[in-house]
Amino acid sequence: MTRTTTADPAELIGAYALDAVEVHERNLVERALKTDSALRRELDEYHDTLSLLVAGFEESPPRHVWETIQSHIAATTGDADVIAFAPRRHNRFIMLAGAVAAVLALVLGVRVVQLDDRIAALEAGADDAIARAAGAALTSADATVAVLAGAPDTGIDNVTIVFDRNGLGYVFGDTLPALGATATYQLWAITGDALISAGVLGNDPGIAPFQIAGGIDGLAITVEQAGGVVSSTEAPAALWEGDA
Amino acid sequence: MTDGSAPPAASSRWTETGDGDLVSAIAARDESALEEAYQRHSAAVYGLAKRLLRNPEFADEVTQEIFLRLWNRPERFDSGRGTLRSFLLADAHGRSVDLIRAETARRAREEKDAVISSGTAPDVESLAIAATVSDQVREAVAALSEPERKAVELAYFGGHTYKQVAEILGEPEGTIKSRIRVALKRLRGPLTQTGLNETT
Repeated sequence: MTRTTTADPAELIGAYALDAVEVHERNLVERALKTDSALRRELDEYHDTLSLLVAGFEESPPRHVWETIQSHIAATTGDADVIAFAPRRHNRFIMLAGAVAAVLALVLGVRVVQLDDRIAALEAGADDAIARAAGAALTSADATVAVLAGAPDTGIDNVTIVFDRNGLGYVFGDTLPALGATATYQLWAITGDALISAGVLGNDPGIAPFQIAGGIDGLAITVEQAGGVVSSTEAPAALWEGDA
Repeated sequence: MTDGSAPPAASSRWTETGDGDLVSAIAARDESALEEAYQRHSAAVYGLAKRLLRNPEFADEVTQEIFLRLWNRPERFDSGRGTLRSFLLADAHGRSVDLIRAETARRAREEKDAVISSGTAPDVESLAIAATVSDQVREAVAALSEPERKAVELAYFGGHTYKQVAEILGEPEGTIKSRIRVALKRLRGPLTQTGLNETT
């Protein structure tokens, strides 16, 4: 998907500091921040300033908030009583740590509602046919929305995928960190013990369409050599194990 | 500061520890260091989220998520770029705004209303509340013109994009972008001159 803008990141930095920019503008500013130290300093100053305004709203959270945090930490340590990520049928993958399962339950409650924001952004500003189709898919009554949880240390929080009952779907790949030129993301459909490639997504995917056949039990994204592979031996960078 | 519940008691060994060393300890998987960070900053994080979201349950979830992200990805914090407080609050604000916009979009679709609106009256009280904390903050807020104050209120505390702020205020988008940037610079001046900024 092509994102074009003539906006100046410096003009947007104040609004960006207030989270008051649109998705494509945020991406523009974040790209500039990677190389522009003066812009980064300006942003840091704004964040410091804003933090001083919050003192008037301080309020101790309920005790259960900390207890929930402790529970999640306990579930993700190497202790013997860790709630293990239940091994399933896809033998070719190395199982993800219990951290993914433990955090997913927390994150999903927040993340699912963010789909609406994505829909609004697509409907409001997209002039790309794929983006419009993806937006329409998100609002379709028979669509399945899968939130793939990122594996630890991948830099991936989660990846949203939508597909209909005919297997036509879209990967919202903007949450995937860009890879080098010699690597690519690859999507896999999980059906029983079978792993079927659903396509190579590229090293810096935006919204990528795909087609899968029949019902599936899950979806996974791996990092492979450029061009993709027929059979993966990599641990999933992101995984969804269906609605079960 | 209102007290929903007493925060957990922090380990005394971290009391004099700066942000950088504290987060280094978190990276080394020291849970007591995270507890210290929670002790120091959870009230600000929770209070901001609750102010923005007006929903205690969502505020709970945002607070949990922010501190779990600190635990799981401490490398995101760079002590050379600012305080841990400002880092956590920026994170919390961003997450809260995501939720606000998602809810707004959901309601707009349900009501078959193509115009994205907050559905609530613009929040023009938050800066006034913020100004009650200290003379320095009050002076900083007072230094803003009314148009600057409205723009910051709507954007920062209302979760609106600058384009939405422009539409609400009937102003050009470029004007609002500039006004926000000027307002932030104006706010910073009095606060830094009085040494109010936290440094660790």
